[in-house]
Amino acid sequence: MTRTIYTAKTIRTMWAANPTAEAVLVDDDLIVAVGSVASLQQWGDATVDDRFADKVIIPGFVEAHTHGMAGGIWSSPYVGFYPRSAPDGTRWEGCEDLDATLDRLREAEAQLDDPSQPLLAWGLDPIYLQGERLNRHHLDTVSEQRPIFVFHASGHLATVNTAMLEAHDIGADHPAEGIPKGPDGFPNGELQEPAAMALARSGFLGILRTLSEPQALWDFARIARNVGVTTATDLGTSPSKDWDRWATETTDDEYPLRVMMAAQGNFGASDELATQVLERMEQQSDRLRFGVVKLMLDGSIQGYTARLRSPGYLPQAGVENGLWLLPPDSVADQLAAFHDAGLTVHCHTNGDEALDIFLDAVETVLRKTPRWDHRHTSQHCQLAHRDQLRRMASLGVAANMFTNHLWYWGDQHRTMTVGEDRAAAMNACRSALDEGVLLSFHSDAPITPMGPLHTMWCAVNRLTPSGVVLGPNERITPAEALEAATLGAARQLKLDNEIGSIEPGKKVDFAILDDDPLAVAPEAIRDIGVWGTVLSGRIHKGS
Amino acid sequence: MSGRGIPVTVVGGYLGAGKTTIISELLAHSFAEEHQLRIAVLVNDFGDVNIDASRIARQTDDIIELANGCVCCSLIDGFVETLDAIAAWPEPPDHLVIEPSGVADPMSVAQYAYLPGFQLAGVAVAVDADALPTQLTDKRIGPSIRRQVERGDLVLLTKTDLASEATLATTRSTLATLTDGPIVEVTEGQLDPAVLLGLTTTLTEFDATEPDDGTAHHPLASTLATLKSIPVDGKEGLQTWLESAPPSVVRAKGSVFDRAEGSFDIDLVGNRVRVTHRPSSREAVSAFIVLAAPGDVAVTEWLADRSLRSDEASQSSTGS
Ligand SMILES: Nc1nc2c(ncn2[C@@H]2O[C@H](COP(=O)(O)OP(=O)(O)OP(=O)(O)O)[C@@H](O)[C@H]2O)c(=O)[nH]1
Ligand SMILES: [Mg+2]
Ligand SMILES: [Zn+2]
Repeated sequence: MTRTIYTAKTIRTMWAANPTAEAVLVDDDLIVAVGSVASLQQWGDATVDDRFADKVIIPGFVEAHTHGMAGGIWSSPYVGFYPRSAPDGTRWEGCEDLDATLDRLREAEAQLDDPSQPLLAWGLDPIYLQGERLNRHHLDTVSEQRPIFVFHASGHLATVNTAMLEAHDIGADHPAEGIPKGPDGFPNGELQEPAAMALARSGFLGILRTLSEPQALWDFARIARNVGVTTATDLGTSPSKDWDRWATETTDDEYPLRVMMAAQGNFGASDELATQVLERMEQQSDRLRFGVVKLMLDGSIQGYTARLRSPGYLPQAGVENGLWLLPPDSVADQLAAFHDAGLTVHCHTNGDEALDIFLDAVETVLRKTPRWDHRHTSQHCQLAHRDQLRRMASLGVAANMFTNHLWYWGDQHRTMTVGEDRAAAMNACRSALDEGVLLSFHSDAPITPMGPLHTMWCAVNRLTPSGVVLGPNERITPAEALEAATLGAARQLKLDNEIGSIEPGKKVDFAILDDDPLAVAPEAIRDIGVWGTVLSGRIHKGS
Repeated sequence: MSGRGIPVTVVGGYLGAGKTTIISELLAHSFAEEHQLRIAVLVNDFGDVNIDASRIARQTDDIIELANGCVCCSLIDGFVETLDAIAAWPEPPDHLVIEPSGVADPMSVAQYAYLPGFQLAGVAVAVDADALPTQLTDKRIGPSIRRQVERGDLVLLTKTDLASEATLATTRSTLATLTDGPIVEVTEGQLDPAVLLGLTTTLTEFDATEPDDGTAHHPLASTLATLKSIPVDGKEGLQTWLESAPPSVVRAKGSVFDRAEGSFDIDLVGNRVRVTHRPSSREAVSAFIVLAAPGDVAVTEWLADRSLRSDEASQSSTGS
């Protein structure tokens, strides 16, 4: 097989010795060399492929915190506040008020033939919507016959219409919690938490079913490809339910993504799970990787369930503190099972108190089982203080920050959750780099849309929708942001020997961009067009 | 007394409180074997789960460990799927016991029992008698433990063998401020299975004359009262009466029949009272058990208060 030289307007290699290049020589799935077309001649014959001559090539983006369900959820119409792109590339405008939400639902309703088929929708976030909160009466104006189930963005709530309530006998005297009543004493249509949502069976299970279809995994990869991501983590997978279906789909050479299966470690037998992960690592393929385990310590800041250090949430929140998802006293034990097995643990810690517990646990396990280069990572890490970042650097703990929050909830954090001063310190990328913490950032898709150019843009600009720059001192440079979104995440997945930069011997993983993120104005980074990707040498055009 | 669906008991409580010990003993207890009860257990376990799981696995076939349980962030909710699978078993279990994580609010987990095919039997919260006072002063975990107790139906007070008299007294008085539900001492998981399962065949008459020999706050022994009948003054009357039960009444379960009104299923677990009216039921049988601390005069009075006015009801059930 002859080798190929791809030319480009610019190649940003993320290889310090040769940061830019005109061309890259590849041999099937591996990079041979970078340089000028002339300099690459020293490697002998090669076909020059100019298809990317007017594009910018960068290392394929690495997203170390997304969820596979980001694909399947698109089987239902989107009713969220901010615009989003579907796997097929269609842009869905945001529903900025109640009327827009109902109009969107009416359109979707008109497209369903079978009158008994429930109408499912997703992405509603009342935190953004002024005025009356969506209830069953609003939904009844969409349909009185067809059951409707609107799944909220938080994943904790759903709003249903009267037909859905009646179809499942959810009446005024239903004994379950999480079924708030309207002024008429009848359920107002909101169902809170999964146990209550599951009562509206056809809706809840309808959504769950779409998430487990093979199509869902392909749609996940299409979304990734469309935004230049070549490697993404599904953070929190079950060996019995998820691994085989991912294995089936990713064996197809046309599958346009490399996926890291991070095992959900909060449940079940830790030692057994560690063994299962190690076994899978032995037989992993290029497109399906193992080696990371996820733990979850707390909830979310905007849901007031993240565990915060003093002084906690603003008084108006009316909550003492958030919720633990693992008993704090058990974290070190739980971590030890995976740490001792040589695995890397990525731990969901939104709040600063949760981060303290995680760092305590890492210190405890390291004392018992010293290990170099474990690369345990704090996921979200949104409220990390300087003292914690210093400690993370010393302990070798990496930070995968949720910079998209600065845009999507930045104003809510200023006014509703932690207040102006701590909002300005959220996702403190500058401090993290200054302390020497290994940094990347993520979208947590489907919580926010996948799109590394957007997460980079947030870290560089720290702008909120109301126009405030949140903590300008925590901004980082576009070059630092690009490193975090490529090599940084690759390092956290321990794949930086294979991916994350365009360097001889690494995988031919590229994001093909219309513009150079290091040359455009910093404010314009998120607007750069993405042509598609190259994954292990295969070209995947975006849609 | 099969009611409507598989009864679900949640045994919650903070990390290491003794949940698994209680459930293991429940399964090991001859009670279950003797009566061929099929008990399914869902464990959503942490830490030394291996030991826990293998201990349980040896005792019954119907063990399911949630490989991927319920998390707020994970929408693929293992709980619903698992419960669906259990409800669809060719031979469904007679009872389902759930052990949630130490930080979960067991009452929230219990809400899954309202899914089709199940019914909520009750929420028991294991509390470590020795550790509670310290735990409650810990800002990190105190509030969740407090909430567990406040929302539970019944406290299972474990490790009293480890607690000093002073600690035990503090624990008891603290618990009393958090719940007015019953507090049952459980050492090394030893507990009358009827407390959790609400079923028994060896009904013994409630002996109101049994002297209070200081063992009253000991495990319930098996003091049971069988009432052939009680007056039925509608669903609400029954409900009010059951709600007025003294704290040492841990469990009451049965059905009462009234010729005019049909039958009522009664189910009490600690603070939880449920009365279900089945007007069309032809089961003209009243059988009603009460588990309470032996020799508690308040219980005697509570029962007597009811029987005094029970002529009508007696007649209606006698006649059937
Ligand atoms: N001395 C004493 N020890 C007990 C008692 N009950 C339980 N234990 C011990 O306490 C420890 C924890 O008990 P478990 O039953 O595993 O507690 P758990 O609530 O299931 O714990 P997690 O699932 O880890 O939250 C074990 O070592 C038990 O043997 C008791 O009444 N007295
Ligand atoms: Mg246990
Ligand atoms: Zn996540």
